[in-house]
Amino acid sequence: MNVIEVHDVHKTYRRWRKPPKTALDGLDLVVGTGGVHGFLGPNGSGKTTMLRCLLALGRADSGSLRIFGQPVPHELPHIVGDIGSLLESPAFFPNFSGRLNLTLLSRTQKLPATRVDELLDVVGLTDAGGDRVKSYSLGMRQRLGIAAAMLKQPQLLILDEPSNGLDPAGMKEVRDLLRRLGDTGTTVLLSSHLLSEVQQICDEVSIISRGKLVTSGRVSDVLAAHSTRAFRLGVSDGPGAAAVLTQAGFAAADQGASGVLVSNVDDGTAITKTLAESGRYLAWLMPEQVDLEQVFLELTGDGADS
Amino acid sequence: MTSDPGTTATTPSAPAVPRPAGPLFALFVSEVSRVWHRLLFRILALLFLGGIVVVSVIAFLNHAKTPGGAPWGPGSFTTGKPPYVASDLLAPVSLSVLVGLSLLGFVMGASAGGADWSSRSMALQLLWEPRRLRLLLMKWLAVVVDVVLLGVVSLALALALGMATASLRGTWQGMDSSAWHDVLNWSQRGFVLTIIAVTLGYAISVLVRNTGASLGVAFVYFAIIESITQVVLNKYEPFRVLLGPNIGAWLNPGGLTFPGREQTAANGSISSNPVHLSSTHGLTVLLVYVLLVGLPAIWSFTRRDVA
Repeated sequence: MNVIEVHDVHKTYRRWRKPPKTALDGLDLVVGTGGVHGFLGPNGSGKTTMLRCLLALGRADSGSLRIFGQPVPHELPHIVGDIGSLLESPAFFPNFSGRLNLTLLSRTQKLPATRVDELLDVVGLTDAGGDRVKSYSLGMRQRLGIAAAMLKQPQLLILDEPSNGLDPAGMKEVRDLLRRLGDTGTTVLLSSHLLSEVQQICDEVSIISRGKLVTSGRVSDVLAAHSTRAFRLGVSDGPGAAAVLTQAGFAAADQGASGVLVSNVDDGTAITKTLAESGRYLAWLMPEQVDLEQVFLELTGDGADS
Repeated sequence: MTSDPGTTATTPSAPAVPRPAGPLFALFVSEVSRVWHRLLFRILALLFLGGIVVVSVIAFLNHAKTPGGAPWGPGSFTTGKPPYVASDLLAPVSLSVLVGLSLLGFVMGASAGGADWSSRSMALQLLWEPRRLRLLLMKWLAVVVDVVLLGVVSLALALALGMATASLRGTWQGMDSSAWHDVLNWSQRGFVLTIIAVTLGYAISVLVRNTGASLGVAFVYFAIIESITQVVLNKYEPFRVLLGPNIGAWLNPGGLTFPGREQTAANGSISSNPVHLSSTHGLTVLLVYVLLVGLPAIWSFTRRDVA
């Protein structure tokens, strides 16, 4: 069963004395049960609008949105107890303490009083829990936002840029926490600009651009689908090896200390065979790796479409 | 960050029956608590209660028992101070407290709504209770309950201090069941006005999404629109529909009489027929204002995107 199913969702912002702006243009999104699902897109691609529509903070013009198989926003009140979310920078009453802000939220769900202190401990705010939120740093507010999102012990956690404002240690803690949650059965939908973070902790990824889905699937599959079909090899006679391979019909180029780059190859064995027949033997051979950043930039143009 | 004991204790999968939002009463209790914890609410409440004490002390110091308990009159000038006559003063005291409370209620209503928007916490709360109408009504009801509770405490304090002053520096003469009925009647009217004021303040803040702008709307209405309307459109008897005159008509159990449209007689003399606004008319107009502001506020809140 899919936890989130979004089909053909459109959303246009109508603005006073300005042309309308299309935020979602037939967006599709499917998030399966459990694990961490990355949700990527350039600024202005519609990520936050999508999450807002899912959580009924905004209204889609058309299309279908389902969470736990239930249509939202209509059925959201009946399932919201299992959804935790953090959208952009968290907003709390600045004159209330972090603990009081969480307590007031927990009371609406009749959660046990101990739950607030448990979560403050999880996000490392036990000592600062009694301080007013207005005295918190950006990172502390972010931690409090994560605590608020996890307060309900949700089955689905929707997080928009949870690492905003966190120091490197805090970012690693969040990554570890999300990975743990994903491993224990919670479904985490993570919207982030930190592509390396997504690549590290996400099982699946969806990339959107200009309000449309451009690719989706397991991270490894997405990377494989956009691999360069290239190999890099090390050999004692680089220029000679490149010449032999070129003669044999490969697109090969000697790159000095970096080895020889051979492009448009499906099977590395053809390279080893060709070189061995010419009396040249490989020191090493490895497929050229693509990372999520390269795939992202390839799929979304220059990465900034807003 | 450490692991969440609540999460790691179980290994959840997609829930067979997802949990709904919390119960209505839990939401209400949370909102009452939210209003009560607001610093502005506490400061205004303390100032209001402090003001009642100060005014009561001044009243105490400016009244004196007549010698031998004799009725106050020309012969009583030996003390220079009149006695505190409970039957004359307790009803106006209760009304004054609640009129003051209605002003305070407007500010608290506007502030409660405005704070939700300025802190952007409304979006956060909608993630816990997505039924917007339910959330809005519970928030409004919470402010009403908090302000009315403050009103009950304020009224009890004012009446207790007034009764003490009557006992020590005045007289209970004439304080019969009819006088107590007046106190009760005026108090009821004051509480109704307070609820209307809170509602208007809250509804305006939902529309304009800002405390300062809400107070500005009220200022512009009373200081400019109502004054200009009274002068410019006098011949249309605007007092029939303006807020100020109808508040007066509601608070006064017998209603209020206003000079009507001026008419010039054949002999050149100018006269006007007085127009009586009943108490019921006053309340009806106030409720119409509540609907005029409240319904657009509900419509706007339930339809607009929340950032």
